[in-house]
Amino acid sequence: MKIEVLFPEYANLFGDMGNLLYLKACLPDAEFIETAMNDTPRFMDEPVDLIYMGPMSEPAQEKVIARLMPCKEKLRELIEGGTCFLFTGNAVEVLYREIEDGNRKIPGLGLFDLTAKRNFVHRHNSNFLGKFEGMDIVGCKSQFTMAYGDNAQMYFAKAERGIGLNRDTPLEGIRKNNFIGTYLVGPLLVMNPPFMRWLLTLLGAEPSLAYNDAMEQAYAQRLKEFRDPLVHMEKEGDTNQLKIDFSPKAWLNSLKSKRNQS
Amino acid sequence: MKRTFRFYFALFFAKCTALALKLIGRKGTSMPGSWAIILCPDFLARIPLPEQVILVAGTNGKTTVANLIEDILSQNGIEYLCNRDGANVNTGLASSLIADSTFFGKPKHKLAIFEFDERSAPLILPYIKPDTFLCTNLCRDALDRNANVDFIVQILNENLWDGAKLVVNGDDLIASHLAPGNKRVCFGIRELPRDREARPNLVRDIVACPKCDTSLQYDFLRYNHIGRAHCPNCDYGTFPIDYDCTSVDMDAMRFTLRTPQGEEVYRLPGENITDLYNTVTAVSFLRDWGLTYDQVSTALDKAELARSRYDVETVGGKEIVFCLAKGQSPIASSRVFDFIVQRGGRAAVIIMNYDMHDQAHSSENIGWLYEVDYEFLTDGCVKQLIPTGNRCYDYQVRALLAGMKPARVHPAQRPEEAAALVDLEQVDKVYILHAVFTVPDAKRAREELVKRIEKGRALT
Repeated sequence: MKIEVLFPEYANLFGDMGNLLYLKACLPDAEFIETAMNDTPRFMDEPVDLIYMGPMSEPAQEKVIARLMPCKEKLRELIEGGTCFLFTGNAVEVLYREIEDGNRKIPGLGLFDLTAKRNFVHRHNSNFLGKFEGMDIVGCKSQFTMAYGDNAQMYFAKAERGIGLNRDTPLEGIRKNNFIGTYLVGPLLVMNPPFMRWLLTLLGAEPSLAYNDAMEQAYAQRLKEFRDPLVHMEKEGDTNQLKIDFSPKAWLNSLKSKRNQS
Repeated sequence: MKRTFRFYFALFFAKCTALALKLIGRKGTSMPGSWAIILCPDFLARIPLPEQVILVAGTNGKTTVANLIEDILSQNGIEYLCNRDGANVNTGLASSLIADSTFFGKPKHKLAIFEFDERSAPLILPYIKPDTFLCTNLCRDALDRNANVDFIVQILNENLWDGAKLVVNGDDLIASHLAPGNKRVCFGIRELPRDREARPNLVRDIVACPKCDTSLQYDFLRYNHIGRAHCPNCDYGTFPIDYDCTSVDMDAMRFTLRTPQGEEVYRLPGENITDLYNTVTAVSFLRDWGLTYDQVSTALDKAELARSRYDVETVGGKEIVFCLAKGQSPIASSRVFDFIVQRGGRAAVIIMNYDMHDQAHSSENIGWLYEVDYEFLTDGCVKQLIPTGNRCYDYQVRALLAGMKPARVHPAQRPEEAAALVDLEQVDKVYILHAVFTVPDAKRAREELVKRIEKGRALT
């Protein structure tokens, strides 16, 4: 099995290289190909089983767009043909129609008819609980952008708590055939054992997880927290503090929480 | 900028707030400044500043460096204003300026040394234009807040005025290339014998040349992206080093610094590589600023590094090491892990560097754990790893993926449980690694541990 990791020297933020660490633990015989910015992507010349790209800085996004632009038609062909992709964090934005940065519009590869709008003044940080193929998906978001456009026919997961592509939709990320692009970081594969099993099956591997019990224990703890209405799902980006809610409902919840604790 | 009625009202209100806080015995270090900025949003632009302002920035080490500089200045009888007891964001700096001002806002000191939070650059640098901007290093940190190092560089470059002289870590390609148009002085530490034994890190914030994307060639790599490098394809690389630490004598706890004035030998107040960097940074700045060798050297002989960040006590033959390993800060944690392994012995490591706010009200994003070198802890000297708090199972997963033996990892939800899990028969050193805000929890764990050790001694 061949897994191509695109531009790891740039696309390596937010601990999402942990996705690869876990893939390596579950697929010890797989070949991991790390494609650097000045290299030709391996998928251009030979079939690969999974193409992975992680989150990157905003200047790096522009480098990646320039680097992948000549590969645009090949990428379209692979997505249509059912090759597995996993793009996490803001990696998926390079495939959008464009990224807006104030008055500046950065054209993307245009494989998905979506736009990402950057807001460097307010960073969005939140937790996510949603459903994908009947599985509970948990993850975190940490981003300067919100995405806009219609993903109703191609979303990755539907939020039960947290937000989708933007605050007005519960539909998170993109799934087209076996392409999955999601803003969820955390890392996604480590945080979601059921999803990891699904991915391994899709890759034609045995769906048995490394460190299964420890993974399930951490997953169960997080699910319990995310389902608790008293657990805040969003934080202030600039201060890294929790949003303070002065509403009567918040006071009531706080009292309930104290009673439960006692 | 003109001082308006609004400014004077904000100043007066803030001074009253500070007085009220003092009377009720509360520190409230940023509250007066918060009120001043709420009442007069451009307060920092209007308050008169000391004649000379020095900002000390950097992802890691800025508090220690600022404290060391202040201690050496004090030893030499030089008076200054600082934010040592306050916050390093805009409200903290405003509070310090208010506290040091006369009734009409005039500063009482001619020199200010402020520890400075890089993320607050857009809120501070448009108003406070530093004479010297000292930067210890820049690396990934607090992903929720700081996003990534490119973003931090961007906001610093956008807001730092071109008259600021930079004193920067030449061994850090990111920090040393800040504000390309500004004058700069670089300090650094030459390759040391211990660098050849350096363990490779998971993350490096600069791998490829930012000009041409060619892989950088490192002449030596100390940790993460700290080292000296050049691009084989263009002119990008490490700047010439003006203040270069050429050798270290760990037995005598002394280091030699090559300065523009010649070779100088100074005392090293700590054994860690970060202690060396912090000391070299402070000494380089002070020598460049104009203090003589004797002034710096004599004061440094008496200086101590802040004990709140690293403290060792021995109880019943067991060493209990209380150490800051900043949460959400992968490089700081990795440095501590490296230090633990270098010290050797038989160790238990209690990790309590979770986010206190999230622990109480939310659920922490633990992505940063995958940027910390837990792989270092697979060394045989670490007999037990005891991750603590709500996220203990996530820490357990991280440790297992790093290759730790499952039998050595013991998750604990509460500090007391963590202390109870230490196998005192098996270890002779217990490290309690805490975050800035988890000190009370860490102290509880230490107290429990001390009780256990003393109870054991009483029984024998």
